[in-house]
Amino acid sequence: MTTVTIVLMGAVTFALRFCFFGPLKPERLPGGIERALPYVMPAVLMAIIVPSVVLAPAPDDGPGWLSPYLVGALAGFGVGVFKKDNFFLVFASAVAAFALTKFLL
Amino acid sequence: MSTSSTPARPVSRGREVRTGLRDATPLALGALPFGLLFGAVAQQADLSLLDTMLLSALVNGGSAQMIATGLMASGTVWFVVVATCLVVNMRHVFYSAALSAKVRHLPTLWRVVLAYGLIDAIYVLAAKRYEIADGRRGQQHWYVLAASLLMYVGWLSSTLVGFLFGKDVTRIDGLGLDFAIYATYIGLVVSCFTSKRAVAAGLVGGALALALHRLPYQSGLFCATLAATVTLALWEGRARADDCTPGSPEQEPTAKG
Repeated sequence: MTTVTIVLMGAVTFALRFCFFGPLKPERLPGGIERALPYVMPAVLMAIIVPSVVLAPAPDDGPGWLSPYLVGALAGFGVGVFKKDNFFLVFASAVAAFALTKFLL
Repeated sequence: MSTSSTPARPVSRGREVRTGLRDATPLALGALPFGLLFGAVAQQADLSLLDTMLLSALVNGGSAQMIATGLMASGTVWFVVVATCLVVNMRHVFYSAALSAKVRHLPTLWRVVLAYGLIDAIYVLAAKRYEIADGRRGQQHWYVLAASLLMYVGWLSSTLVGFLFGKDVTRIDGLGLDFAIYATYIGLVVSCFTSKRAVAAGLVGGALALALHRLPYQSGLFCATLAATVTLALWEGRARADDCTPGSPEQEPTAKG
């Protein structure tokens, strides 16, 4: 079953990548769908990040709000405000803040 | 309309391949840790080696693979896994539409192969390469093919190594390797925040997903994304309508990058 699911995922992904390389013409896209597309990426990524980070288990010792997941994420977003196109700087800041909180406290 | 410069043709093809490989090298190196991490996560989630390699070979997209692995490990029903993969990879429709005019003249097999490799990083490289060409039809598809192949080989081999050494990765668990996934998404999502409405889409999606996290089979993720996307599309529709009326407040640029 897992293998079938994976093959279906592959088919779905390929269909999304190929749809305008042959079957469809971008000119024929309905306006509503076209308008929604740019918001899919921020919405889905934040829908993954927020619950995972907020609901992450708090450390045994130390205050509950000082979760490394929360601190790391806030650091990443903080750097992202100023350097939103620097993927590795945002990534590294988040990981560094996470590691500092986790191992120093 | 373009007359191909006949003597330069084979030379240009080779140059496209070399430039493609050169441009993709840093991106392929940067993707290696994520491939390793994915392989290790899949091994820890009790996926078989075949299924793990199939995921990397067929889906060829880190975030979708990582999320699907987590969903499958927590016993999510198959159609929610496939639907979530659809949502996570929905952005590729955008890439496909954007490059459509550049590949329309190519034979079907070429278009299939190029679509197969059209991951985020390749879209960025391809879009830049075609922009340089400035509408002249050349051998850029060789550039895209070479870059895609390099990324693909790097992705498959790092997945394999990650799977084989997955146990070693767990032995040093407590490093919080799972946080690396969220840090990756944070790095990706801040680059999407190109307008007020894109930020709002993220905030609505995040808040809704948090509120709905108790829904079964992780379907809260799907519902939150759908609701946030539709809300923002309606908002943009209204803002465009307001734009046409005189004396409307200044609008920020739309999220299309």
